[in-house]
Amino acid sequence: MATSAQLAVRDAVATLYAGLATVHENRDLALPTGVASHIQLYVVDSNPERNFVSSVAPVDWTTKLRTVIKARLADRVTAERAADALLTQCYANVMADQSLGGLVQQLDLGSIEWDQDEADATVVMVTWEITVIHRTQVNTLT
Amino acid sequence: MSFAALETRLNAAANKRLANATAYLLGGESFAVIFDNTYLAALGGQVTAAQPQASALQSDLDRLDVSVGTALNIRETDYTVRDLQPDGTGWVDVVLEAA
Repeated sequence: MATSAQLAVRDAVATLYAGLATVHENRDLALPTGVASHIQLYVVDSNPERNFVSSVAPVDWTTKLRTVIKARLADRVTAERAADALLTQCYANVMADQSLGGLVQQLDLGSIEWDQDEADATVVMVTWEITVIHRTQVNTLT
Repeated sequence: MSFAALETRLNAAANKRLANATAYLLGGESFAVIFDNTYLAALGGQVTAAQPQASALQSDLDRLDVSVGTALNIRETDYTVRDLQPDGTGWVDVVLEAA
């Protein structure tokens, strides 16, 4: 089964997050009861640099990826600290391999947003976006 | 019998019949509570959580000096009192936070 370059890029980021927490790719899962934290990774959108089709020129795609980190109080570590530790590690891992294994030509940083809510303890969600530029041939998305 | 005395008597009877848990302080003192730990969809449903809350007699809280920040153990779970919300009839909603 062929995989689009967009999902290949997302998979490359997921690999960089492996071992930090459970990573869910393009799934809208609530952080379940009893789970301290998890990471959700999305391809948000992907836009070609040009709309006209040439028979020979490759296409450069600008693809936005969104990382969502959710955490709750666990083992007396507050949700904010747990989410922050995950964010810091996710960032460091991506910055250590900015080409995402050679798949992308350029990586641009996006915003980081924090959301919190009060439950039995404070729960936190951190959203971080990056944009990458990667190339495909005009006749394929792989 | 005055209305206040009737109210106190009614509350004590209700607490005796309806209490479903015991709240323990660090020193070992305890008081009966009506405990609820309902499901809460936090962050707009992004996080599944709980909303622990206990109803207790104002007289018990006064007697044991329970206030915001007091550590309690209910059903073998440690909590901290986040807020005390008296209802004006002798009962107090004790809002709890996981410790």
